[in-house]
Amino acid sequence: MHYKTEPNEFTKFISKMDIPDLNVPNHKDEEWRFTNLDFLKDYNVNDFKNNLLDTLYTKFISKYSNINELDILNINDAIIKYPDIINNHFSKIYKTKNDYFGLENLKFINDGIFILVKENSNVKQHIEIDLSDLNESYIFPRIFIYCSKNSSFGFTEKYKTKNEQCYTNIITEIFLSDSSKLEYTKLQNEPTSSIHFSGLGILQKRNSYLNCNTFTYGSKFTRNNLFLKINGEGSESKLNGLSISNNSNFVDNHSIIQHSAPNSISSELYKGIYSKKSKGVFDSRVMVDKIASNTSSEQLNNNILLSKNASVQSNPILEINTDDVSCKHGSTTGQIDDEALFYLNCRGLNKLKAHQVLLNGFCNEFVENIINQNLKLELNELINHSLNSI
Amino acid sequence: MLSINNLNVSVEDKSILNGINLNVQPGEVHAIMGKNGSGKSTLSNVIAGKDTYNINGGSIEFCGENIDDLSPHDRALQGIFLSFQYPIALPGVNNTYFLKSALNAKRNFNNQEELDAVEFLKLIKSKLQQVGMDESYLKRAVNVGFSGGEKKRNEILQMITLDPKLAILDETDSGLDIDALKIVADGINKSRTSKNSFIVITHYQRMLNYLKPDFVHVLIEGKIVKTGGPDLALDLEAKGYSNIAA
Repeated sequence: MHYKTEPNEFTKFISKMDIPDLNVPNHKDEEWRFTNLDFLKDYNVNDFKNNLLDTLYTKFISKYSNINELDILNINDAIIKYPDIINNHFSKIYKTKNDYFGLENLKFINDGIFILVKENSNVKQHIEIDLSDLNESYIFPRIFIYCSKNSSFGFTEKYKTKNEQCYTNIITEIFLSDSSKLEYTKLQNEPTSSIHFSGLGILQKRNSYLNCNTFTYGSKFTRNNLFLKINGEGSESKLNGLSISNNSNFVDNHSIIQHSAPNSISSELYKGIYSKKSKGVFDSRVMVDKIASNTSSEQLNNNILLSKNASVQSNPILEINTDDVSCKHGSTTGQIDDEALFYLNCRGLNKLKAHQVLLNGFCNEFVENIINQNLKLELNELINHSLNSI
Repeated sequence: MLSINNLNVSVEDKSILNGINLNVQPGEVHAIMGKNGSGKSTLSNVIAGKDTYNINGGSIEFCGENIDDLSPHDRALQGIFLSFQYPIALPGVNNTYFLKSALNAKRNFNNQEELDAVEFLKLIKSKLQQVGMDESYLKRAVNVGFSGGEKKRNEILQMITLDPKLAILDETDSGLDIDALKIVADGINKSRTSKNSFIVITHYQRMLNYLKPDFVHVLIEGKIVKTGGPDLALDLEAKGYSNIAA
């Protein structure tokens, strides 16, 4: 185990990086204009002292050590074993230069998990890391996934802490080599008083395929940052999100999808259900670079508001700098359709059951995108539980 | 079965139904024919309990009980089924889940045990055959990407699965080609017994060739202006509504 007090390869590596101190962003910052971070004054992140994550990392590494197609190790060890990957890509896929939370993560991590999916390998076992049982007030996980050429892999991050006061700041970086395939899911079910910041950076090379799913439920504040760069011709990316929000919770899904190579496809579908006084933000930008001709992109945000006090700020943006592209975007926000309710009522379902059926249906479009069957079942249960509590 | 007495209905300030009287006995098939805007769909929606209308007078009794204060789902549980003119698409809700929820809601209401997945599948397979649908329908979302004909068949599948006392078929024949029409009519005919009743709402007489109604009613401007046997439908087809009204 490595503790922050004992300098290791990773902390030496980090110390060479120039990590400036940034002020907490405010609404004048373009990336944060819909999001109020005033609550941060109640959190003294510098109180963070120890890190039980190291134990969790050790357990995770040993749990999956028998999978021949994978090399799973601490980032600390990856610096020695895979210096090129770390030097070329670590903290470069998810760029932190002006990112308050990204820098905060760098400042407090002393290690992380590194997963290398070997070339030409199809990993049959779905891998998951569960960050539920950490009795810590502040956690700063860091994950780096490198999918080698022509590999296929499925990975899930779970955040299900019971710790009411938990403050999570996670950064995950993913490199998809030529012709690699990844199903990545982030599943969050945390207590109402918790704070959750997540940064996900993905770089896709030629003919790679990404199926990326983000489920958000619980925390009073969630910000999911997603930066995807498609840097290889013929790549395809599916980005799906579902947020179920109640009380006074706030969920902010923020993404930038950059097409930097020709003939690539991206489709983004984010859905949200907001009840009581909850608020949501969908702020997503698809950028098509000059070189990225024949790009096909779809960007869609659908929201259901279950209360007159709930609200959503939906902001899908297209920035197209080339010709010969097919790009669509759209957004809908409304209440449950009265005609659909009447139809279900006419089949003998009462108002409550009809609501449930329609909301479940709304969520199913998200679940249907998940390929892994066990994960699908788990998500269905979680969605039912979430819908019953809003 | 159903007794409608002097029913007057309006939407906002516009009067739609003007003193409808209709008596349907068990085992009977009634056809209601009329032009667009004559109030046919309003009548079916009001019987089903849709609350976007103003009921200005009259009453509806079902099986001897006044149902004016019953919600649509209570009416459905009592045995009233409305086949929609424009069936609603329910994205993400698959047909199995939808039909099983509806059937088990009804079984619960009738103090019968709910069907489990295996029992339900067995039942539904036989019903699918009756309407010429294959099992792939069950996995699809309700009415999503369905053709007009598929939607109408899906309505009949729901009807024969839920086995209502009174089925109101609101222009179930519209949008159907002749083969689909035969399948739908056949599905309805096979479910006819001496205990259940049908109200068939239609523009055209062709559906009635297959269904053989006991009574045909002509609805014009929210009023039943003429009632007769099956021949009345043929007359209408030949002479048009204006001549009948006169």
